[in-house]
Amino acid sequence: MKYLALAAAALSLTGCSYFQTATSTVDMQAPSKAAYTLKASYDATLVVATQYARQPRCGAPGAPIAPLCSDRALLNNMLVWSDAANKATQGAEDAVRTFGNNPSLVRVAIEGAQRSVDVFRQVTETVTKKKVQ
Amino acid sequence: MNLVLALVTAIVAKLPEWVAAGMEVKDIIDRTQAVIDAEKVVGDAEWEALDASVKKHKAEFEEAARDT
Repeated sequence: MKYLALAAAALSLTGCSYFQTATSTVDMQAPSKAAYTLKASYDATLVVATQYARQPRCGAPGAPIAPLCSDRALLNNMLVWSDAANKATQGAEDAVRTFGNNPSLVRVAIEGAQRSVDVFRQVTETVTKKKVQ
Repeated sequence: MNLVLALVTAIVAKLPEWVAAGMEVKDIIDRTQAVIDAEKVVGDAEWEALDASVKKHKAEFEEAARDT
């Protein structure tokens, strides 16, 4: 159990510290780095979300009890917000790479991506916190 | 007692996956930090590497989330 706690804490802390880094380093003065950081944050969230999704579905025959199972309804939410974050971060990337000289357009795209990534991250953090507890 | 043993066995079986996921997240953090620290606009090579990483991880997530 000691090793489990360490592994769970390492995964949780690594993810959390990354998310904090991603949030604190978003700098509107450097839009390309802001868009990159948001997309990387989405990428890291996908890795954590995949670990949750790989668990047997709760309620399935032979499935372990929570927290070692994944909830179908939560996964459906995660899929929806993953798609939204994917489109928004791609939009931000396209904006900085194509319209880098139009700060207002780039800013709108980055703010949209920030919101989408935040929602996907929060949904994923909620389920992985359940897993760790 | 058997239930506890089954739970512990299931948890231990998951450990390598969790450690591998932690390493993947660390790799993303390190790459991002390098991009942030560089005194330049993000280049095409960095974008393409990140796009490929997102594409791979998104496909893995969707595959794992699908009911079989």
